[in-house]
Amino acid sequence: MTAPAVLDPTATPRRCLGVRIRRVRGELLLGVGPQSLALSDVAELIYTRADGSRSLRSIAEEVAREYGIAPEEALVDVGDFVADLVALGVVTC
Amino acid sequence: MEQQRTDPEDWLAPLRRRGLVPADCLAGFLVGSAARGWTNARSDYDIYLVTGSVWQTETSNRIPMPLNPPQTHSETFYEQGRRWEVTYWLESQFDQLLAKVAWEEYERGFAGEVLTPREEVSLGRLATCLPLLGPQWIESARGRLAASAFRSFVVVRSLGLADDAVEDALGQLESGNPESATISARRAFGHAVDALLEAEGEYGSHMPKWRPNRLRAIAPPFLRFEQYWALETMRDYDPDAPERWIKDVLTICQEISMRVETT
Repeated sequence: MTAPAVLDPTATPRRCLGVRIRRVRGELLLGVGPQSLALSDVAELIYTRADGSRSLRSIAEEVAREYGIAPEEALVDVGDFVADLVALGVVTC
Repeated sequence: MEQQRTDPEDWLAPLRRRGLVPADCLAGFLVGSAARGWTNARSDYDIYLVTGSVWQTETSNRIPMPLNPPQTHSETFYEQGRRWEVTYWLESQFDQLLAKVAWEEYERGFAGEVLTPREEVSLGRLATCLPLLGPQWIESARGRLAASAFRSFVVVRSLGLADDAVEDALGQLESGNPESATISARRAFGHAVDALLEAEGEYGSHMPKWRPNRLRAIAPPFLRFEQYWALETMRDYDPDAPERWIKDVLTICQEISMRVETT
């Protein structure tokens, strides 16, 4: 698997339209081709904040506050995850 | 001036005078707009009676239903200029409707159109009816409805229709057809709002004329009425630049999908 692209912290990710989304028993599922991708709590937080108005850094700061981790560490994790979502075609950046 | 009806017997009296309440009537309930307090001077009154045997007279109308027996019957009359329609259901027909939306059926993967629109409207009306006769039967039937997969069936159906319409709108935009994309976005929005309402037990998606009333009834914090109404009436639509409105609507549909709980 190729490494995800490194994203600019000022980039503002946006969820792609046309992705099938279901909340099943509290869990958010994204339709990715014939598969469904179940989001963990932190993944859901990142995905739902990706509305085109927040930067990666701003989302990472929220994740850092919510989960009590260092902002720079959160920025790396959020950047990696968003890059994965971009590769899957469910988010644009 | 039409009489104010506050007592169940006020509703039943016009039927009794015409001999339209059978001796084996198990339950009777007012349904539709009158049961919700949404009537106007031109509204019909609709009453369902649940009986132990088939009601069939020279004046009754046959309403086809994919049930056994394959129809219900209705009687219509006018009272003080108002049209009344009384529909006669067998108890076993309600049992069959509820069996169609059992969890076993849902889990079998047929989460689509298991009920005809008429069946769906009839079952949904049970949730918001005004009991007139046989309150225990009605309470029991409502309990069975609440315990069934009816809500999941209709929510999943509406979300699926919304997804299909979103897909259409995006494809039409990409191919340079903003007019069709606009229509598709409106359809997507209607279905998505219906899913939001159905998830809260506000059924009746086959009657979009009541969507504003249903939305007011549950007042979802996520979608304020003013915002809903601005989109429904296309207030910010710019015919010279329709893409922005279309994408805003599709984004709201996506946000609804993220919030509506399915099973």
